Amino acid sequence: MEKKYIYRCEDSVEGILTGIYDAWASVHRHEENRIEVCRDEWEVPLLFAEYTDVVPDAEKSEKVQRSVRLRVSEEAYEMMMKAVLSGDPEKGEVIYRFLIYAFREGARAGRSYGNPWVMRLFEIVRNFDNESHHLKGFLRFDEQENGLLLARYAPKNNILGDLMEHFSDRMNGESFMIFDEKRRIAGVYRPGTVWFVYRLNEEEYRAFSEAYTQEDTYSALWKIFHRKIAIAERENASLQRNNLPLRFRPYMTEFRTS
Amino acid sequence: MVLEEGLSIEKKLEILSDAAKYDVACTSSGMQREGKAGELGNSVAAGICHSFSADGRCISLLKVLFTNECIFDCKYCINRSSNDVPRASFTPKELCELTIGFYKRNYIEGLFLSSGILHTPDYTMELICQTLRMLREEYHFRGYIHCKAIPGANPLLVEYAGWYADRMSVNLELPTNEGLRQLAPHKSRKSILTPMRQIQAGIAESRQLLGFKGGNYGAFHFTRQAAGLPYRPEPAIPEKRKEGNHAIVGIDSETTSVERTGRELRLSLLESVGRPTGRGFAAAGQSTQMIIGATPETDYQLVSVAEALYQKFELKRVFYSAFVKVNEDAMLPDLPGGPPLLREHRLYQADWLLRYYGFAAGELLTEKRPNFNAVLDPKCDWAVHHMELFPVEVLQADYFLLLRVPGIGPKSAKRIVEARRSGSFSFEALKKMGVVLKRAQYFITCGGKTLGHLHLDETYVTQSLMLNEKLPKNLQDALYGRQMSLFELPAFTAEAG
Repeated sequence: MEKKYIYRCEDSVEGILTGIYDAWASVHRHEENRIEVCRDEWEVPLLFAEYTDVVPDAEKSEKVQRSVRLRVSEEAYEMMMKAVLSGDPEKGEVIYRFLIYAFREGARAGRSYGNPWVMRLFEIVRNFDNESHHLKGFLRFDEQENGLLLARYAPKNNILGDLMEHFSDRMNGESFMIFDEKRRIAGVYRPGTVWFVYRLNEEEYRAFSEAYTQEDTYSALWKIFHRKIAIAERENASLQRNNLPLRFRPYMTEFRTS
Repeated sequence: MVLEEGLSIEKKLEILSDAAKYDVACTSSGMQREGKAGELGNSVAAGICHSFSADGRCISLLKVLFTNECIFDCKYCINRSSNDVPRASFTPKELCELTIGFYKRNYIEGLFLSSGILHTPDYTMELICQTLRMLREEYHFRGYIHCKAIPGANPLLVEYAGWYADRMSVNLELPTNEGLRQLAPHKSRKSILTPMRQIQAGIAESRQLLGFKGGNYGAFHFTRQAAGLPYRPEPAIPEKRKEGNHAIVGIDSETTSVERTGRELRLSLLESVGRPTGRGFAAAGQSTQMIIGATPETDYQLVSVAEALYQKFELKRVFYSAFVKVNEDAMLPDLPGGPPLLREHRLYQADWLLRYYGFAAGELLTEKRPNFNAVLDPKCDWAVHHMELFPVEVLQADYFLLLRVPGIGPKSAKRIVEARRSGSFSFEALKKMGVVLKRAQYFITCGGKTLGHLHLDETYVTQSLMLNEKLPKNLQDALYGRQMSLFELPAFTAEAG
């Protein structure tokens, strides 16, 4: 078996792009390198492999981003950045292989769907975009006693930036927070300021998980509406499930009991 | 929340959403509008679905009636005046607070306001206008509004509503005059087409004066343009007009007079209405809806009417609503198999073929073959009757020829065209691009290769497609309920070859 050189990166823009930079700069051939993004689960290490733990480096990450924008296209850059935020376990490797192809192919690369790595990247990006689009509709805010609107969710991809852009434009006069349970991060917006994302500590995490659910007049009215708008003669649970997968429902007001 | 005396807001919402559920369109698409400081809301061109109800339909807007009181007695409608059902009306303020409260919690994309007719069409339309004005100007709501024009209402009020709404619609309900006479005696072709024409003119004018505020051209327009097909063909052939109650001709024959009235009305109105011009006039376009299966029209008539509406009225969407029998009335058909869902499904498929694929109604059905095939979708059905055009070489065929292949849609066709600039690719890659090979394989070559055995025989291909085809479960039931047997399939009825 051929020896592999595996670059283990932290799951962040800097981590992954530094990994790709280091692999590229190494003396090994591309085929010998592999990019792996660290996950929480225990991973079985490969036998004939040499592991390198990548130290995230802002400058290297910047360089990769700049080269992609200049030498490939803005479109490819956007695809890469979405893939970095995706929940796909192989994203690091896919981006690496895509870039090898893209630097050769040039501006067309992002749409050369005949290439398997372009297609893999395209699928990752599509999954990211679809989830982001879904949650722009499926996300639910509950009004807290102090008027703050609070939403909670656990998406597959890290789409918080997309959602904060969307909602801070839409509800620019409201204070709101979106809380990603899975990543334990929260996006915060207050009128007249710029939104930001921060990582919750243990205490904040617990506080958010508990203080969350607020039933009020509107949530009750919404449940009435949701029930009444269905046509009994057309009932179709599987269509409903296709359009609104079960994984979203625990966070949605209309599917909440009590 | 301000309550009207009597009914609670819960009760009102219960009654007035229940009464609105038969209206199909819940889309919030066609309008891209950024937020603005001091206002609540924006709008996304693609539209956003916020939930799905137990029937699997999208919920995007707060779809309610202003009132379910009604002086009309349309036989198919649950709110007909002769029905004894609980009645309720919102106040404009109640509706505004509901919309804002729901919107802030991200339950909805906006408001879809329709109504029964309280006292007179004008009285009702005025209440609708008051609500829209209050929502936009007092509550500073910047989200999506879809508003119905009440047939018979003063054009001035329709005009007024159009400047507050993103989308306007007038329901055609039944595609022929005869159908309307029988089931909706208070409505007429004229009272429906007049506001439709007026809205069309308003949209066109606002586009000219204010620029392109939303996606007020529909897919039909763009497809026709890209394909180099005529968009607004010559007026109908005169001798056909004499045939009287014929769906397609119906619209044609009324075109000229309605068009003229529409324009005259608008000219006289332009001066008198103060127009908030920030949004444009119904800039997300106009739509309509037809009830399917309450009257005996053929699919050919329905698709032809839809085509005429896209062509001549520049509609953004036509919606089809499988008739649900909510009233007992001798004039209404019995539907032992439930609402004709399969038929509705086929009509939507055909509608997509008109709007995105560049098909003409006459290519899909003819007077001799007036109804859709129950087993094959309209495009497969078309393709097996045109085997002489296949196989199509996907690495070379132009976009619109690719679109003619069953299993290839606008998205996959675009990807094919993009991808082949960087060289050839495999069937596996085609599949990943979204091509449904179980259908496409009988019609294509890829780099000269075929996927399995390519046998361009109508009977063979038809049978193969049928074996592969799986309808959604609820439609399977509809299929077996219908008296359409294998013997009606093209392979068995067409001449050999």
